[in-house]
Amino acid sequence: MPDADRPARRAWRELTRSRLSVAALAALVALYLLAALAPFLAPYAEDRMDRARFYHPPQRLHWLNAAGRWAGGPFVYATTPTGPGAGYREDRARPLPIRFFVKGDRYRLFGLVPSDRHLFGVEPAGESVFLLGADGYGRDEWSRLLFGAQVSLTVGIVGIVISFTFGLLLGGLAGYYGGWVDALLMRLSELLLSIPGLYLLISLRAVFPASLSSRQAYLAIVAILAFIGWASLARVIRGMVLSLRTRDFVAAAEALGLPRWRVLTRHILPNTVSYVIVAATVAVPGYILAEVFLSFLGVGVQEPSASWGNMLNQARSLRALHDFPWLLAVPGVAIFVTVMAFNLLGDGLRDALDPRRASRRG
Amino acid sequence: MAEPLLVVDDLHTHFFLESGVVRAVDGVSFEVNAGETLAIVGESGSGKSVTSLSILRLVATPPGRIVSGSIRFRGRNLLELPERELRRIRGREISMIFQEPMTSLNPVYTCGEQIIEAITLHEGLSRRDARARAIQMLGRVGIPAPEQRVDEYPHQMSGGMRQRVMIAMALACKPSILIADEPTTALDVTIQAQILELLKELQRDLGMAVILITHDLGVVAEVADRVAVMYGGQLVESCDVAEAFRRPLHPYTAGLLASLPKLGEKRERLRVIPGGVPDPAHFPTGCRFHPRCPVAIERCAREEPGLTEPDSGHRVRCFRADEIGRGAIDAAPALEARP
Repeated sequence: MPDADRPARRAWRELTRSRLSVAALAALVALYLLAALAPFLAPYAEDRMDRARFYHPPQRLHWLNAAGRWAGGPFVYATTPTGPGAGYREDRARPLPIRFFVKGDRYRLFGLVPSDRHLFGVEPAGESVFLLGADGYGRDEWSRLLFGAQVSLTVGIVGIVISFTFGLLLGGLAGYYGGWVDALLMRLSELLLSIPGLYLLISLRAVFPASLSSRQAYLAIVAILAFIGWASLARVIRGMVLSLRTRDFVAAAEALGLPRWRVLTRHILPNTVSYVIVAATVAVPGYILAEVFLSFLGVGVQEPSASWGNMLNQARSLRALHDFPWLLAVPGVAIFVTVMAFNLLGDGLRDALDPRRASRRG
Repeated sequence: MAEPLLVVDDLHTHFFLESGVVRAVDGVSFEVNAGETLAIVGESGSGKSVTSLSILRLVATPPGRIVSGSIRFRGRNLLELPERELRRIRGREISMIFQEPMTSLNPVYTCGEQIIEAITLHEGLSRRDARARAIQMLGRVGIPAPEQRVDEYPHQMSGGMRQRVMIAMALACKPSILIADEPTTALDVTIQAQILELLKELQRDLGMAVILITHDLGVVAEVADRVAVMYGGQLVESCDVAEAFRRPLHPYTAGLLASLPKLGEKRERLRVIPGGVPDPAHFPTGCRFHPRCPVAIERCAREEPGLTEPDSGHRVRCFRADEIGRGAIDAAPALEARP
């Protein structure tokens, strides 16, 4: 058989026909790469503070020196505080060239490879580069954005994988076995769905101790999201299984002597895969936003660890919004881009996996 | 004589719905000998398909349940076997093919994968050997270039090809009984003939018995050795095919045969059995056929006739079978009234 006829390959072909989908996919790949390489791409560790430069605005990158000549590379000007508040002035006499592959904070890339090299930075020690500004503790927003991405981007994927596994299995069981299994599981899902989402999120958070380490908080968030997330998917999957199980191929599989469990997992559930892929893609942003929400409230990922939610937390006050808009803009834009990319990719996948469309195109 | 391969005795399969109990199968008995073809004939809703599903205990439970009766295969009652044991019979000893080849193959797997799954499950062959067997089976059921088609998905095949794949899948483990539930109904007439021919040929080569579910008496005449006629969830008559066509004892069988237009016979009007199939949730009292029966007597509305065996191997469920057999009364329905 020509390879091109395999369903996955056909879907890929369909998907890449749409520029919007390709752009969304590219954006997501870039975002996840940024997150994976965060400690290298970030000039500082997520908790590195420059106490002299709190609320530092984003620095301008210069290419031409004071005389209007090519400076031999990008540089920023050192800044000095102008008063007791958060005001800074560029010191035109002290250009700080951006150095590449500089030594800085120690880290382990992918949690394995130890290194202290960073893609860029400024020297000497004591000076800082804040391309996207700094927060109230003088922490680099760019660095925190990258480290925060590690939390915010994975919480959605991990949460989806867990909750969709449960949703598929429980929905499948309910639909396939019917009877009291169905009744029990569906009442349970209705119970979960009948509680308002945010309220449920917060009350579930209350189940865990108030202060958790970053890692524990991360796991708690994933657990909470998975716990909430399976219900709606399970209901849809149950409906699909109810309709699929009347199809002859299910009877045929049973008539061949396959165990029921195998009929469910090998023959029925794979037929829901195109729906599940789309649903998962579209559901990821909800999970990301839930993490943002929890962290924004201060019950998610704990300071000083970064997440996009607790970065936003810094932009809570009106004063911060007015005087330090980058505190809102930096994580805000990142969240917006991510959510949009997932939604666009979901739309693209929906079209690509639509069998009617595929057959029309031949 | 040895016990027949499969003996179905007084089978009752009911569906317990909120709207009431539907007695889809309500008294069916027949046997199948090794190597022979039994046709189960009846209108839609007469319980033929539920009967065939009941044999392998594939009736959806709930709402369906096999209420009583026994199904003995090689002396073992399938209704009492634990699920594990039954699974070793399904697909290996008794296989099944379905009416709709468009939906009876799983769209997400290649044809080969589905056949291989059956083979590895029952015979413990390696994947490579199972694949070789699958290709061989595909060739055996008349699929050209089986080495290539084995990797194709069902949607890449025509209905006739898919039905051939289904047959290859069902026969991959060389079962002793094949249940074919209207295997040709959804196919073109020319393909129908090919598939029937193929089934006959495979049956001869593999020495298996076939239970053919159909409503097509032409098919029955062509391939069956014996026929079981069902009406309203009950067996109403069973006998040799030749006997059924020559001397039907039940008015329903007689009516079915009379309603076949005959070649070379000039007729403007057809004979039809008046009325429609009874609702299985509300069967008429007495004989279920009596409201449509041309020779019904008062007793038929009151009492339910039991299954009798007036001649050896010829069973019938009718109070007046004797008279019909003797030719004392004509059980065929009248010509259809002019519109």
